[in-house]
Amino acid sequence: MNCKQCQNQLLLYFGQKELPEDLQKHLLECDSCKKYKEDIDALAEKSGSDQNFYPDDATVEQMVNSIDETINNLEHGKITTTKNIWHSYIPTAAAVILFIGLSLIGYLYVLKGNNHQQATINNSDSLIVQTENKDLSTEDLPFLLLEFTSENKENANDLLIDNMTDEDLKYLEKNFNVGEIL
Amino acid sequence: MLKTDRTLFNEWIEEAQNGNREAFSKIVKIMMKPIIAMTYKMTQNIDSAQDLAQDTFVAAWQNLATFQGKAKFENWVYRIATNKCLNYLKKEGKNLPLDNHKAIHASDDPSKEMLNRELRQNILGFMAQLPQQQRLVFELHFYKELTFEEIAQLTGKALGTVKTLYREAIAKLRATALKKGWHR
Repeated sequence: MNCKQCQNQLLLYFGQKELPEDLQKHLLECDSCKKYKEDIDALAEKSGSDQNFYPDDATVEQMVNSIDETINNLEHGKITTTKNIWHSYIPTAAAVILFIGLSLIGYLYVLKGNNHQQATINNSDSLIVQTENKDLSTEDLPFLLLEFTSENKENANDLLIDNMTDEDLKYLEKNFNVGEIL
Repeated sequence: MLKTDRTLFNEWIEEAQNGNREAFSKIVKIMMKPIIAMTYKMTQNIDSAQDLAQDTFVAAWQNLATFQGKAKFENWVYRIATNKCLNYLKKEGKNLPLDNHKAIHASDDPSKEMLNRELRQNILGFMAQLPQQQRLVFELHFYKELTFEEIAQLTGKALGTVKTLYREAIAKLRATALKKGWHR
Protein backbone atom coordinates (compact mmCIF):
# COMPACT_ATOMS: atom_id res chain seq x y z
CA MET A 1 0.00 0.00 0.00
CA ASN A 2 1.39 3.42 -0.93
CA CYS A 3 0.68 6.74 0.82
CA LYS A 4 -1.97 7.85 -1.68
CA GLN A 5 -3.90 4.61 -1.26
CA CYS A 6 -3.54 4.83 2.52
CA GLN A 7 -4.85 8.42 2.71
CA ASN A 8 -7.72 7.57 0.37
CA GLN A 9 -8.65 4.70 2.64
CA LEU A 10 -8.35 6.87 5.74
CA LEU A 11 -11.06 9.17 4.34
CA LEU A 12 -13.41 6.19 4.28
CA TYR A 13 -12.60 5.40 7.91
CA PHE A 14 -13.22 8.97 9.03
CA GLY A 15 -14.63 8.89 12.55
CA GLN A 16 -13.92 5.20 13.07
CA LYS A 17 -11.42 3.85 15.57
CA GLU A 18 -10.88 0.43 14.11
CA LEU A 19 -8.80 0.25 10.97
CA PRO A 20 -8.00 -2.71 8.67
CA GLU A 21 -4.70 -4.41 9.22
CA ASP A 22 -3.02 -3.21 6.02
CA LEU A 23 -3.77 0.39 6.96
CA GLN A 24 -2.48 -0.06 10.48
CA LYS A 25 0.70 -1.62 9.12
CA HIS A 26 1.31 1.30 6.73
CA LEU A 27 0.66 3.84 9.48
CA LEU A 28 3.28 2.22 11.68
CA GLU A 29 5.84 2.62 8.92
CA CYS A 30 4.89 6.04 7.50
CA ASP A 31 5.16 9.25 9.53
CA SER A 32 3.50 11.34 6.85
CA CYS A 33 0.38 9.14 6.80
CA LYS A 34 0.45 8.95 10.58
CA LYS A 35 0.32 12.74 10.70
CA TYR A 36 -2.50 12.70 8.15
CA LYS A 37 -4.40 10.24 10.35
CA GLU A 38 -3.99 12.51 13.39
CA ASP A 39 -5.37 15.43 11.38
CA ILE A 40 -8.35 13.37 10.29
CA ASP A 41 -9.02 12.21 13.85
CA ALA A 42 -8.90 15.79 15.17
CA LEU A 43 -11.33 16.81 12.46
CA ALA A 44 -13.70 13.97 13.34
CA GLU A 45 -13.68 15.09 16.95
CA LYS A 46 -14.41 18.67 15.93
CA SER A 47 -17.31 17.45 13.83
CA GLY A 48 -19.11 16.37 16.99
CA SER A 49 -21.83 13.79 17.07
CA ASP A 50 -25.49 13.59 16.23
CA GLN A 51 -26.38 14.64 19.79
CA ASN A 52 -25.01 18.12 19.08
CA PHE A 53 -27.97 18.61 16.75
CA TYR A 54 -30.70 17.17 18.96
CA PRO A 55 -33.66 19.34 19.95
CA ASP A 56 -34.55 19.73 23.62
CA ASP A 57 -37.04 17.48 25.40
CA ALA A 58 -39.79 20.11 25.40
CA THR A 59 -39.64 20.37 21.60
CA VAL A 60 -39.75 16.58 21.29
CA GLU A 61 -42.75 16.35 23.62
CA GLN A 62 -44.55 19.06 21.68
CA MET A 63 -43.87 17.34 18.38
CA VAL A 64 -44.95 13.92 19.63
CA ASN A 65 -48.28 15.46 20.70
CA SER A 66 -48.62 17.25 17.40
CA ILE A 67 -48.02 14.01 15.47
CA ASP A 68 -50.51 12.21 17.66
CA GLU A 69 -53.09 14.89 16.94
CA THR A 70 -52.39 14.81 13.20
CA ILE A 71 -52.82 11.03 13.08
CA ASN A 72 -56.03 11.34 15.11
CA ASN A 73 -57.40 13.88 12.67
CA LEU A 74 -56.36 11.78 9.70
CA GLU A 75 -58.07 8.72 11.10
CA HIS A 76 -61.25 10.63 11.84
CA GLY A 77 -61.26 12.27 8.45
CA LYS A 78 -60.80 15.78 9.78
CA ILE A 79 -57.84 16.37 7.54
CA THR A 80 -58.35 16.04 3.85
CA THR A 81 -55.66 16.07 1.27
CA THR A 82 -55.22 18.98 -1.11
CA LYS A 83 -56.79 16.86 -3.83
CA ASN A 84 -59.92 16.26 -1.75
CA ILE A 85 -60.26 19.93 -0.86
CA TRP A 86 -60.21 20.75 -4.55
CA HIS A 87 -62.83 18.13 -5.19
CA SER A 88 -65.24 19.72 -2.72
CA TYR A 89 -64.91 23.10 -4.41
CA ILE A 90 -65.43 21.86 -7.96
CA PRO A 91 -69.31 21.88 -7.97
CA THR A 92 -69.40 25.35 -6.38
CA ALA A 93 -66.86 26.70 -8.85
CA ALA A 94 -68.76 25.13 -11.76
CA ALA A 95 -72.05 26.65 -10.55
CA VAL A 96 -70.48 30.10 -10.21
CA ILE A 97 -68.90 29.90 -13.66
CA LEU A 98 -72.20 28.71 -15.17
CA PHE A 99 -74.12 31.53 -13.48
CA ILE A 100 -71.66 34.17 -14.65
CA GLY A 101 -71.65 32.69 -18.17
CA LEU A 102 -75.43 32.63 -18.45
CA SER A 103 -75.71 36.16 -17.04
CA LEU A 104 -73.18 37.41 -19.56
CA ILE A 105 -74.93 35.71 -22.45
CA GLY A 106 -78.27 37.10 -21.28
CA TYR A 107 -76.85 40.58 -20.94
CA LEU A 108 -75.30 40.48 -24.41
CA TYR A 109 -78.55 39.16 -25.87
CA VAL A 110 -80.59 41.97 -24.32
CA LEU A 111 -78.00 44.55 -25.35
CA LYS A 112 -78.07 43.33 -28.93
CA GLY A 113 -81.89 43.39 -28.92
CA ASN A 114 -81.93 47.01 -27.75
CA ASN A 115 -79.44 48.05 -30.41
CA HIS A 116 -81.42 46.23 -33.02
CA GLN A 117 -84.61 47.94 -31.92
CA GLN A 118 -82.95 51.33 -32.01
CA ALA A 119 -81.39 50.77 -35.40
CA THR A 120 -84.44 49.36 -37.09
CA ILE A 121 -87.20 51.52 -38.30
CA ASN A 122 -90.43 50.03 -37.18
CA ASN A 123 -93.14 49.88 -39.83
CA SER A 124 -95.72 51.29 -37.47
CA ASP A 125 -93.68 54.39 -36.67
CA SER A 126 -93.26 57.22 -39.02
CA LEU A 127 -89.82 58.05 -40.31
CA ILE A 128 -90.14 61.56 -39.03
CA VAL A 129 -90.73 60.42 -35.51
CA GLN A 130 -87.65 58.17 -35.76
CA THR A 131 -85.47 60.86 -37.14
CA GLU A 132 -86.70 63.38 -34.60
CA ASN A 133 -86.06 61.07 -31.70
CA LYS A 134 -82.61 60.19 -32.89
CA ASP A 135 -81.72 63.69 -33.96
CA LEU A 136 -80.37 62.42 -37.23
CA SER A 137 -78.62 64.48 -39.81
CA THR A 138 -79.19 64.43 -43.55
CA GLU A 139 -76.30 62.00 -44.05
CA ASP A 140 -77.90 59.44 -41.75
CA LEU A 141 -81.03 58.97 -43.76
CA PRO A 142 -79.62 56.68 -46.48
CA PHE A 143 -78.20 54.43 -43.77
CA LEU A 144 -81.54 54.30 -42.01
CA LEU A 145 -83.25 53.38 -45.22
CA LEU A 146 -80.59 50.82 -45.99
CA GLU A 147 -81.04 49.29 -42.56
CA PHE A 148 -84.77 49.26 -43.06
CA THR A 149 -84.51 47.56 -46.44
CA SER A 150 -82.05 44.96 -45.13
CA GLU A 151 -84.61 43.98 -42.50
CA ASN A 152 -87.57 44.10 -44.91
CA LYS A 153 -86.14 42.76 -48.09
CA GLU A 154 -89.38 42.52 -50.05
CA ASN A 155 -90.87 45.78 -51.30
CA ALA A 156 -89.08 47.73 -48.65
CA ASN A 157 -89.30 51.06 -50.42
CA ASP A 158 -93.01 50.62 -51.13
CA LEU A 159 -93.71 49.73 -47.55
CA LEU A 160 -91.80 52.73 -46.38
CA ILE A 161 -93.59 55.13 -48.68
CA ASP A 162 -96.96 53.52 -48.08
CA ASN A 163 -96.62 53.95 -44.37
CA MET A 164 -95.76 57.60 -44.62
CA THR A 165 -98.39 60.24 -44.22
CA ASP A 166 -98.48 63.30 -46.40
CA GLU A 167 -97.23 65.28 -43.49
CA ASP A 168 -94.26 62.96 -43.20
CA LEU A 169 -93.38 63.33 -46.85
CA LYS A 170 -93.62 67.10 -46.71
CA TYR A 171 -91.39 67.18 -43.68
CA LEU A 172 -88.86 65.00 -45.39
CA GLU A 173 -88.81 67.02 -48.56
CA LYS A 174 -88.44 70.19 -46.58
CA ASN A 175 -85.75 69.13 -44.17
CA PHE A 176 -83.79 66.32 -45.89
CA ASN A 177 -82.24 65.74 -49.25
CA VAL A 178 -84.32 62.66 -50.02
CA GLY A 179 -85.69 63.47 -53.43
CA GLU A 180 -83.57 60.90 -55.28
CA ILE A 181 -84.28 58.09 -52.86
CA LEU A 182 -88.00 58.59 -52.69
CA MET B 1 -29.52 0.93 21.97
CA LEU B 2 -29.04 -1.81 24.57
CA LYS B 3 -30.13 -5.35 23.83
CA THR B 4 -33.05 -5.17 26.26
CA ASP B 5 -34.01 -1.81 24.79
CA ARG B 6 -33.86 -3.33 21.35
CA THR B 7 -36.17 -6.17 22.40
CA LEU B 8 -38.62 -3.68 23.88
CA PHE B 9 -38.34 -1.48 20.80
CA ASN B 10 -39.15 -4.44 18.55
CA GLU B 11 -42.18 -5.22 20.70
CA TRP B 12 -43.41 -1.66 20.28
CA ILE B 13 -42.98 -1.94 16.52
CA GLU B 14 -45.05 -5.12 16.48
CA GLU B 15 -47.72 -3.55 18.67
CA ALA B 16 -47.77 -0.42 16.53
CA GLN B 17 -48.20 -2.57 13.44
CA ASN B 18 -51.26 -4.04 15.13
CA GLY B 19 -52.67 -0.54 15.46
CA ASN B 20 -51.44 0.36 18.96
CA ARG B 21 -51.02 4.14 18.86
CA GLU B 22 -49.45 4.31 22.30
CA ALA B 23 -46.67 1.98 21.20
CA PHE B 24 -46.14 4.10 18.11
CA SER B 25 -45.87 7.26 20.24
CA LYS B 26 -43.11 5.59 22.26
CA ILE B 27 -41.22 4.85 19.05
CA VAL B 28 -41.70 8.45 17.90
CA LYS B 29 -40.36 9.73 21.22
CA ILE B 30 -37.17 7.68 20.85
CA MET B 31 -36.61 8.45 17.19
CA MET B 32 -37.66 12.09 17.13
CA LYS B 33 -34.26 13.53 18.12
CA PRO B 34 -32.16 11.73 15.49
CA ILE B 35 -34.78 12.42 12.83
CA ILE B 36 -34.91 16.16 13.58
CA ALA B 37 -31.09 16.23 13.72
CA MET B 38 -31.09 14.67 10.26
CA THR B 39 -33.75 16.89 8.70
CA TYR B 40 -32.08 19.95 10.27
CA LYS B 41 -28.68 19.12 8.81
CA MET B 42 -30.23 18.35 5.44
CA THR B 43 -32.44 21.44 5.19
CA GLN B 44 -30.51 23.92 7.38
CA ASN B 45 -33.79 25.32 8.65
CA ILE B 46 -35.29 24.33 11.98
CA ASP B 47 -38.93 25.03 11.03
CA SER B 48 -38.67 22.98 7.85
CA ALA B 49 -36.78 20.30 9.79
CA GLN B 50 -39.63 19.98 12.29
CA ASP B 51 -42.25 19.88 9.53
CA LEU B 52 -40.33 17.18 7.69
CA ALA B 53 -39.86 15.17 10.87
CA GLN B 54 -43.59 15.32 11.51
CA ASP B 55 -44.36 14.29 7.92
CA THR B 56 -41.89 11.42 8.29
CA PHE B 57 -43.61 9.95 11.34
CA VAL B 58 -47.11 10.42 9.94
CA ALA B 59 -46.00 8.62 6.76
CA ALA B 60 -44.36 5.92 8.90
CA TRP B 61 -47.64 5.34 10.75
CA GLN B 62 -49.62 5.21 7.53
CA ASN B 63 -47.19 2.73 5.97
CA LEU B 64 -46.35 0.59 8.99
CA ALA B 65 -47.94 -2.43 7.37
CA THR B 66 -45.33 -2.33 4.61
CA PHE B 67 -42.44 -2.65 7.07
CA GLN B 68 -41.42 -6.28 6.87
CA GLY B 69 -38.45 -6.25 9.20
CA LYS B 70 -35.91 -6.99 6.47
CA ALA B 71 -33.93 -3.88 7.44
CA LYS B 72 -33.68 -2.17 10.82
CA PHE B 73 -36.77 -0.15 11.68
CA GLU B 74 -34.61 2.96 12.18
CA ASN B 75 -33.21 2.58 8.67
CA TRP B 76 -36.74 2.25 7.30
CA VAL B 77 -37.68 5.53 9.01
CA TYR B 78 -34.42 7.13 7.80
CA ARG B 79 -35.41 6.14 4.28
CA ILE B 80 -38.76 7.92 4.67
CA ALA B 81 -37.00 10.98 6.12
CA THR B 82 -34.46 10.87 3.28
CA ASN B 83 -37.22 10.94 0.67
CA LYS B 84 -38.98 13.78 2.47
CA CYS B 85 -35.73 15.78 2.64
CA LEU B 86 -34.77 15.18 -0.98
CA ASN B 87 -38.27 16.14 -2.15
CA TYR B 88 -38.06 19.29 -0.03
CA LEU B 89 -34.64 20.17 -1.45
CA LYS B 90 -35.88 19.52 -4.96
CA LYS B 91 -38.76 21.93 -4.42
CA GLU B 92 -36.72 24.58 -2.65
CA GLY B 93 -33.84 24.28 -5.12
CA LYS B 94 -30.64 25.99 -4.16
CA ASN B 95 -32.39 28.74 -2.23
CA LEU B 96 -32.28 27.15 1.17
CA PRO B 97 -33.88 29.38 3.76
CA LEU B 98 -30.92 29.44 6.16
CA ASP B 99 -31.84 30.42 9.69
CA ASN B 100 -28.37 31.31 10.94
CA HIS B 101 -28.11 27.92 12.60
CA LYS B 102 -30.08 28.99 15.60
CA ALA B 103 -29.86 26.72 18.60
CA ILE B 104 -32.14 23.74 18.55
CA HIS B 105 -31.03 22.74 22.00
CA ALA B 106 -30.10 25.24 24.68
CA SER B 107 -27.59 23.68 27.07
CA ASP B 108 -27.68 24.58 30.75
CA ASP B 109 -23.94 25.16 30.66
CA PRO B 110 -23.28 28.45 28.78
CA SER B 111 -19.67 27.62 27.86
CA LYS B 112 -20.72 24.20 26.59
CA GLU B 113 -23.54 25.79 24.64
CA MET B 114 -21.11 28.25 23.05
CA LEU B 115 -18.91 25.39 21.86
CA ASN B 116 -21.96 23.53 20.63
CA ARG B 117 -23.15 26.55 18.69
CA GLU B 118 -19.75 26.97 17.07
CA LEU B 119 -19.67 23.31 16.13
CA ARG B 120 -23.15 23.47 14.65
CA GLN B 121 -22.29 26.59 12.69
CA ASN B 122 -19.16 24.96 11.29
CA ILE B 123 -20.81 21.69 10.34
CA LEU B 124 -24.06 23.14 9.02
CA GLY B 125 -22.13 25.73 7.03
CA PHE B 126 -19.97 22.98 5.57
CA MET B 127 -22.90 20.67 4.82
CA ALA B 128 -24.80 23.47 3.09
CA GLN B 129 -22.04 23.57 0.48
CA LEU B 130 -22.16 19.83 -0.22
CA PRO B 131 -24.21 18.42 -3.07
CA GLN B 132 -27.36 16.74 -1.72
CA GLN B 133 -26.18 13.16 -2.21
CA GLN B 134 -22.82 13.80 -0.51
CA ARG B 135 -24.63 15.57 2.32
CA LEU B 136 -26.95 12.62 2.75
CA VAL B 137 -24.21 9.98 2.73
CA PHE B 138 -22.10 12.06 5.16
CA GLU B 139 -25.11 12.37 7.48
CA LEU B 140 -26.05 8.71 7.35
CA HIS B 141 -22.54 7.30 7.74
CA PHE B 142 -20.83 9.75 10.08
CA TYR B 143 -23.71 10.90 12.27
CA LYS B 144 -26.17 8.01 12.01
CA GLU B 145 -23.41 5.36 11.86
CA LEU B 146 -25.07 3.35 9.11
CA THR B 147 -22.71 1.07 7.21
CA PHE B 148 -21.98 1.79 3.57
CA GLU B 149 -23.95 -1.34 2.67
CA GLU B 150 -26.98 -0.10 4.60
CA ILE B 151 -26.74 3.31 2.93
CA ALA B 152 -26.48 1.67 -0.49
CA GLN B 153 -29.61 -0.34 0.30
CA LEU B 154 -31.43 2.70 1.69
CA THR B 155 -30.60 5.02 -1.19
CA GLY B 156 -30.65 2.44 -3.96
CA LYS B 157 -27.12 3.39 -5.00
CA ALA B 158 -24.18 1.12 -5.77
CA LEU B 159 -21.83 0.45 -2.86
CA GLY B 160 -18.89 1.96 -4.77
CA THR B 161 -20.87 5.12 -5.45
CA VAL B 162 -21.74 5.51 -1.79
CA LYS B 163 -18.08 5.11 -0.77
CA THR B 164 -16.98 7.63 -3.39
CA LEU B 165 -19.60 10.14 -2.20
CA TYR B 166 -18.40 9.75 1.37
CA ARG B 167 -14.73 10.03 0.48
CA GLU B 168 -15.41 13.20 -1.52
CA ALA B 169 -17.44 14.68 1.33
CA ILE B 170 -14.63 14.05 3.85
CA ALA B 171 -12.00 15.44 1.49
CA LYS B 172 -14.10 18.61 1.20
CA LEU B 173 -14.60 18.72 4.97
CA ARG B 174 -10.82 18.55 5.47
CA ALA B 175 -10.23 21.27 2.87
CA THR B 176 -12.89 23.50 4.47
CA ALA B 177 -11.50 22.95 7.96
CA LEU B 178 -7.95 23.76 6.78
CA LYS B 179 -9.14 26.86 4.94
CA LYS B 180 -11.18 28.18 7.87
CA GLY B 181 -8.86 26.88 10.56
CA TRP B 182 -11.68 25.52 12.67
CA HIS B 183 -10.38 22.02 13.30
CA ARG B 184 -7.35 23.09 15.33
